[in-house]
Amino acid sequence: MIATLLLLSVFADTHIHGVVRDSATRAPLHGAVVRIDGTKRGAIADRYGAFHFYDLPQDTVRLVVSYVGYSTVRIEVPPAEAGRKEIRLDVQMKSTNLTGQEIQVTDERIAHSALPTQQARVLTSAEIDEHRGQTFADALTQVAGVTVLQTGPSLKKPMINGLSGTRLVLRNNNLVQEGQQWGIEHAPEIDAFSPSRITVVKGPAAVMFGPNAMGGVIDVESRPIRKDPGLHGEATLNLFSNGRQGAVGAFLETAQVAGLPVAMRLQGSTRMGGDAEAPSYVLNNTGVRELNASLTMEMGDETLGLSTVASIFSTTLGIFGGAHIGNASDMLRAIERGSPSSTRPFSYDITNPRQEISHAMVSVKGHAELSRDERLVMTFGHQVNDRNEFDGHNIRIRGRGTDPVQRAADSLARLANALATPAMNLVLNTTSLDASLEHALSERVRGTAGISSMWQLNERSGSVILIPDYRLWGIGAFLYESIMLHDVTISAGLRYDVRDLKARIINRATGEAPLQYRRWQNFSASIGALWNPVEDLTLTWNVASSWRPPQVNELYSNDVHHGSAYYEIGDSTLASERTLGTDVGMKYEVGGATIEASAFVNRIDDYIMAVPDPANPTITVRGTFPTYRFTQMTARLLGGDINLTVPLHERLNVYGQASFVRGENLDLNEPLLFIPADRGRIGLHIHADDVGPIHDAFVDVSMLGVRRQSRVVPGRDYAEPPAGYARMDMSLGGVITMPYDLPARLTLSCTNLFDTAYREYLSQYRYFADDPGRNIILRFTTTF
Amino acid sequence: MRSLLIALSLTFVLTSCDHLDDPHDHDHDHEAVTTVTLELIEQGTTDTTRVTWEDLDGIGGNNPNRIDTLALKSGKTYLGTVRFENRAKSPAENITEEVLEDANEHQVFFAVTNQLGVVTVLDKDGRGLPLGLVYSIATTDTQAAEPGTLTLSLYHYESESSKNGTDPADETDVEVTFPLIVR
Repeated sequence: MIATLLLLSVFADTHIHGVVRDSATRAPLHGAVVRIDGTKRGAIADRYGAFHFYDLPQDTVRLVVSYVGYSTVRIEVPPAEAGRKEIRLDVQMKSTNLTGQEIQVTDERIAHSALPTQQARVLTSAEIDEHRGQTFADALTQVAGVTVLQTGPSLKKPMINGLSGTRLVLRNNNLVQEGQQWGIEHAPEIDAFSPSRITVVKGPAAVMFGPNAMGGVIDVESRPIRKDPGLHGEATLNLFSNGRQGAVGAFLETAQVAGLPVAMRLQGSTRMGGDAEAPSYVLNNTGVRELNASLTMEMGDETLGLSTVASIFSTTLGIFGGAHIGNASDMLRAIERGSPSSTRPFSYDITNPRQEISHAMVSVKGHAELSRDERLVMTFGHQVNDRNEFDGHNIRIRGRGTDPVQRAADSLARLANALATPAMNLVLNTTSLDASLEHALSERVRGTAGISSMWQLNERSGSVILIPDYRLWGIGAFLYESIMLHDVTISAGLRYDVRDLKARIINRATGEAPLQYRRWQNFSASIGALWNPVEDLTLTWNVASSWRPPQVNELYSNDVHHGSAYYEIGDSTLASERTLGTDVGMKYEVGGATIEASAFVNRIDDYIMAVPDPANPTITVRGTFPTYRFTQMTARLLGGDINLTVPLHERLNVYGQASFVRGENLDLNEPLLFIPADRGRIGLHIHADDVGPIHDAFVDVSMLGVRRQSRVVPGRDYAEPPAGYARMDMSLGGVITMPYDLPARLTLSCTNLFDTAYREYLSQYRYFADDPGRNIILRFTTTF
Repeated sequence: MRSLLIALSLTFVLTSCDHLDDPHDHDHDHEAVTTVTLELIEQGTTDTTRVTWEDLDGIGGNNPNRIDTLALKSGKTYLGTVRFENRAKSPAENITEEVLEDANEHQVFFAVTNQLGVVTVLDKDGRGLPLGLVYSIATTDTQAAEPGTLTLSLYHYESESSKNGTDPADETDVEVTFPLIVR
């Protein structure tokens, strides 16, 4: 072990952070794994080599720093002295040819939500903090290949490599989040402030997480509770100039409750925002209210333990008035007008149309080390997702009765009732139970076998029928193993799933509601390899095949989509989709620079998509709507992304990122709808250890460029895709010490620095209005 | 605490009564218009033409169950009225009265294709702007013209101030199209 360690300052009993660098070039080592010896806790150095630990035991800590192509470094951090707050480390690693052992490092780096060979990116809490926006999905867009489908600034759905909704799995606190993911205007119900780290798995992960993971996984894991005595916590304040939005989040945690060996964390956050503002007008009724809370409890240790999370998320979201239209003629008029017809001044009020959603969940996860080589993990979960969508249509209420006073009162009462009655209410109850056995078959072979089950009940009411009442259960069994050879790791997995659906289909013409039963079952499989042919170069390759049963909206949808003025009709005879995909990845480090690149191609047989049926328009009293019917086709998605970081100087990095996706309907030889346009970001990051009283100071300036999506079927959509755009973003920040020795991380960012007017192809509002303009964001976090 | 949470979550499970066992759809309370009737009297006579556009199962379900063809004589003027109803409710709701009561926030527009006629709105709202429940149609002199359509649109404005008598509202309430023959 040839490494130098500089103990710069010793200030803390709780917060250890530092930078991992190459000893020769001083280049930051993005992805280096810092582990606390004797535990399974660890951190991963971010793009700038930085890592943080907030929750350390009181005694001496041994850190193990490892990285592919470098000698592992062991550091003894002496016990902190009373009243001290912070330990900063400068870890320098010496590169080596001894690659054999470090293969495992890559395994650890990818954690447990992906096979070692898969394309995965872990967002640390520091990275999430630095990019936290108005929604949970904002922090994800820093990952190449991840984009968002948005319906206004407060409603964003993540998309990985062109797939979203029910083709992605979002895990929150060990549970697959079950909301109404099928809706393009249904955002994941996750608190942007939940103390967590996020793993984004790009590519099929069905073997681990079931059929809906065919496009990838976003895994939100809660941060472990600090085990040192006393009460600790964190408070965060975010202020956004656009929408004049404010959000606060805080948590308190303790390793012991009333002397019992139970660690507990109580967390809450709230958010209030008004109308967002495009560069030249106000986007009325785009405000948001959010109130979230969670309680986490942990007991036991590595050998036997239980952790429980209970959380509630609740939000009220305004739907931009200018996008709520009556029929196709209204849509065409709105597009022709080019901007909203009338805009009111800024307001915090949220009126109809609006969404009110709550998501409550309980997750109980227990683990037991059965032997040195076997660990059993069981997870029980229950979730209730309650979604209410209120229309803005037809509030034409006339009082009843003969007496004018009575009539006025009746009119007001009925109006209040109509405004408070959702056009659609969906209550989705999901219960799940998973069990898995993690095992080491030998020194070199490790894996997991498990079963996973879920039971779900959806109940709808209201006049809008997009999905029916249904009951769905599913069960799956899986096994995946990784074999670590000298410079190659091979992973393979197999899974079998059954899904059983019982739905009550409302026939509006006859008023009858017959039951329909469907059952689907099939295999998913994957195999992949990771290879280190020379030091500093990692190559990965995966092939996976998985399936996805048709979703309830694809089977039974039967109503108008108000935001897009088309009538969508499901097909109850749809079959499952089957995907076969492969991806390759490469990571090369040379002279402190890092290049990461990946490419994928994914063929989906019986891909389900709503396609127009021009021969059969839907005629309603509100006019004629184009009819879209869910049909199946052969689709192909291919794409790639590249990430580049080049140190120009010890304190100055240039970074770049670019991604592209192509989606094709192979049957008709035409492009798929809603594929993200090609995009790239280029930026400069300046990092300084200390600038006056500011530690870890940084300045980051970047430009996002998005091309016009030219791959569309002309005339298919109401409007042609919007023009490409370039947007400048900037942020600067650092850590200061506040009174009482409290460290505070302050970031001031500005997105859309020059208030550029643009429209994003993946925005549902692009027909009606520009995207929001300049947004100045102040983020403040303190840890105690 | 944990047992409390589990108990709470079990309550969720147990209290979720099963809609699936109930074969009836309770959510038919549309505020929407199902039926639009035009009544036209040829000027100088008592000849009355009545046509109906009807979609009883509301938006969604089947396409309209009835769309009459409006047949008019060439070179004549007709005096017309329009009636909006919700016949899905029993007794049927007369929505024309509601439009009339909030006349300042409503307007009916007419559009005729193939130059088969000219529609003039005759009634006014409380502010003197056109309303459109009473109108006249002057048909073309050309006999045996190609068939066309008459489209009627009802707009409900957000407020009085957004109605100016010429522009439609952002959101259409009713838009129905009748086939039109003039001979």
